[in-house]
Amino acid sequence: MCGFGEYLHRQRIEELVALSHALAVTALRRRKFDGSMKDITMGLDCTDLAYDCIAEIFHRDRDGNLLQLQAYFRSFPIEELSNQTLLSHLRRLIASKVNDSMFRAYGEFDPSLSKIIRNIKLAIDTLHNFTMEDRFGESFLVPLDCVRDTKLPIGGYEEVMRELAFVGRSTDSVPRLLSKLSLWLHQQTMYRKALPLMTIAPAFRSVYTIRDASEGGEKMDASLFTEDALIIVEAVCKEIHQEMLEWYVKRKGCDPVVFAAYFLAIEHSLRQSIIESMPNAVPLYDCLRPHLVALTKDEYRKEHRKILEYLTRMCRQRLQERLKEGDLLSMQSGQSAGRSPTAGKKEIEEVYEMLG
Amino acid sequence: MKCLDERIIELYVLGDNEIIRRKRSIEAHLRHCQACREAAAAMSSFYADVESELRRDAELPAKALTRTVPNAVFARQPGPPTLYQ
Repeated sequence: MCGFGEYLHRQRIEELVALSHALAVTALRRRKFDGSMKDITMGLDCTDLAYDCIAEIFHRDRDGNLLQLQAYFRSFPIEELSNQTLLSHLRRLIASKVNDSMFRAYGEFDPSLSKIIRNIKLAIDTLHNFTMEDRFGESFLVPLDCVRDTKLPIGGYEEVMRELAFVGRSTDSVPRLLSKLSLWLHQQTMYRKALPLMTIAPAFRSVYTIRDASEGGEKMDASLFTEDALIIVEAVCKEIHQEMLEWYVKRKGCDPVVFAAYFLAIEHSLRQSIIESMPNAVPLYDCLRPHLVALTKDEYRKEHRKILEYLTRMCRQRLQERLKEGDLLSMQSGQSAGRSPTAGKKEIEEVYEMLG
Repeated sequence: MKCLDERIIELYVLGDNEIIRRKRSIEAHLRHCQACREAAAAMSSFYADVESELRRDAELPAKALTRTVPNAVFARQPGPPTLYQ
């Protein structure tokens, strides 16, 4: 028999589950209605999907604590907030869970779209030509420094696609497509400047799909693979830089500017290797020289070569591990429509070979 | 004219006491701003759907409506084990 306190607690949790589920199911139905969720439901009902979305936040630890909910609400002064404010916070949490689930579903059922979404987010973080805004649980991209023309309708997939069909090129990377989209959004006066992420990503994918169809095959996989690999190169270099900073700079007295230059050189070297599909496409000395003024070959051999080669090996090894464990594995299965399993596999094999 | 913050619109739709104090100015803004009016309508219909979704579940007590559930969920009285310890 459980005590009254426990009964009360259980009842409250059941009510919270019911409310969270109602919020999730409503958000999902809206997505289904506006078409941004097609093809990923795999015949599942919104009610079932909603439980999948909220399951994570009701995960308990050994002592029965709802860790995620506690962590989320701990950041608010809940004693001072009204019920309406708490409800609005809960809705935001559920909306983010619905978004996460949708992105996960895309990753599972439509890996190419999932990669485009991720690359868009990374490009925004790097380029800062758009800001990402959450509008009632949906992510919108807004070009920087634009006038908010809120009286205009929001551009849909067809409109974005029509424009990209004109300006998008078969060789454009995701950041390049974003720049073109930003330019168009600034210039046009028919629609609002803000566009939903889930309108942009499928439109970008269509550009690649059209390119794929017209060029007969494996370019989309290859292009996305290269972009992925380049992103991972950057992340790996940052990681190793952080990890080795203390040893080299604090203990060995290496100049932090020189140490940072090593990683710029390594990143450049690895990027070129991937782009040109050959190991050591550019000698490390040539990669380092632009970052260290007046560096002579002799100086390089005596002072930098050993460390640089060692750090490069570390980065290569980490890159190889990341490529193995990362979502590039999904390319091997090549499950999504229009993707060639051999294309992904070939690319991966080439990079492994190149990385030695 | 600057648009209302999404949170303000949401709390207005939910009838939050703090926001209701600003009701006049919010409604004046809504009269002139189509985007905020649309946002308020979208939010209002979202919560109407949430309420009907909660009502559909026969096992839920009648009080388990959008605006009363937080009361139960985030109740401040002590009782082991509570959600926020």
